[in-house]
Amino acid sequence: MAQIFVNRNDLVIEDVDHPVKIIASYANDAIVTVDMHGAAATVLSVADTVVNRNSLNARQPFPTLTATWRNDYKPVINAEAQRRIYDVFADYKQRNYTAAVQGYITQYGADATVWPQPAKDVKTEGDRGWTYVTAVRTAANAWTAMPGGDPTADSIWPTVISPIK
Amino acid sequence: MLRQHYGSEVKVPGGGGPSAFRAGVTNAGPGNPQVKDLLITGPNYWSGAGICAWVGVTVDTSRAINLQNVSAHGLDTGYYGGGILTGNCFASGCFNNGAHATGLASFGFGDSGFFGCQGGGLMVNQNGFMTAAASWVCCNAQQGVAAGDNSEFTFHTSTAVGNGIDAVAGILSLTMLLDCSVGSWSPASGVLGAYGELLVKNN
Repeated sequence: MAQIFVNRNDLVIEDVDHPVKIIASYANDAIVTVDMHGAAATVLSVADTVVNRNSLNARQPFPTLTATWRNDYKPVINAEAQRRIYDVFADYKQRNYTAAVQGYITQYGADATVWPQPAKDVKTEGDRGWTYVTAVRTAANAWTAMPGGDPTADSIWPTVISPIK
Repeated sequence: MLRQHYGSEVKVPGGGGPSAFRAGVTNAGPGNPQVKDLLITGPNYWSGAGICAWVGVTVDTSRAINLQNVSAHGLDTGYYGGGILTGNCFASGCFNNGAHATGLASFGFGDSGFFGCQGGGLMVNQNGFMTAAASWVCCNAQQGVAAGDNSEFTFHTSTAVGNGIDAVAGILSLTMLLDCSVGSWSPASGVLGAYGELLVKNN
């Protein structure tokens, strides 16, 4: 697996004569940000087998995606879902909210309506995050094939919420 | 405009298609001859060759040539080959690359310029080495400077701007940008790519 950066527009205009050009690639465990290669680019997690390294030539120095790369849609969709979730609800915050709410249940009981207001506020903010996680995962699981065009476009994913505090 | 600056011109004719390899200047023998103050022009259209057919200067493996104030314009590739080439050179309006070092080549450019090519400005691939110092690589359609396929590029005190992407390290290759002005690059500086790409930028 690799994390590859491609221009979003290349995903939209892709056809036999215009394969998607890979402008950068990183190991799957490298820490990357979606804007690392500018706003016009996006990042996809793909299997090494869909990276066509024979496409380099004297006129362009980049590998391309194979014509069948969209057949292997699950790694791309799952990685994009994870990226979207972590952007607003980082994994350490998920753990912190889980631990905090567990502590409040132990301290105040399972009925959150009787908790003190600060504890209620923590739960409300956490629940906002969990609702978004569910929405993103539901969207990801609903696809049975790669969406056309740019599979990382905001327009085909649940509306992004503000980051969890 | 170029013709005003050169007293001698070599014209590389077009025609014959992508397999009709022709060079304006080549060294087919031993030694390191110097060629200076020369304009080399092509037909101003692409041969259709994926690598190149009509080139300004070429040296094959185990050959060398030293260029001073040579300009190549309107060819597939200005400077091409697998040997040793050094020069104060210029290339413009080429249809593949300004310069392309390949197959164990070693190219070095100082005070040179590569502009407005439809492929890239400077390309080294297939176990080659290229360096450029005090040079300009601007407004080429694809890459400014690029190393790919097990190669190395050192770009020193130079400028690459306005290219499709200004600096690239490709598969199993190293591109070093030392005290350069470069607008865009790939991969990120100091981060090893998934397939052995490494670009290092010191400023």
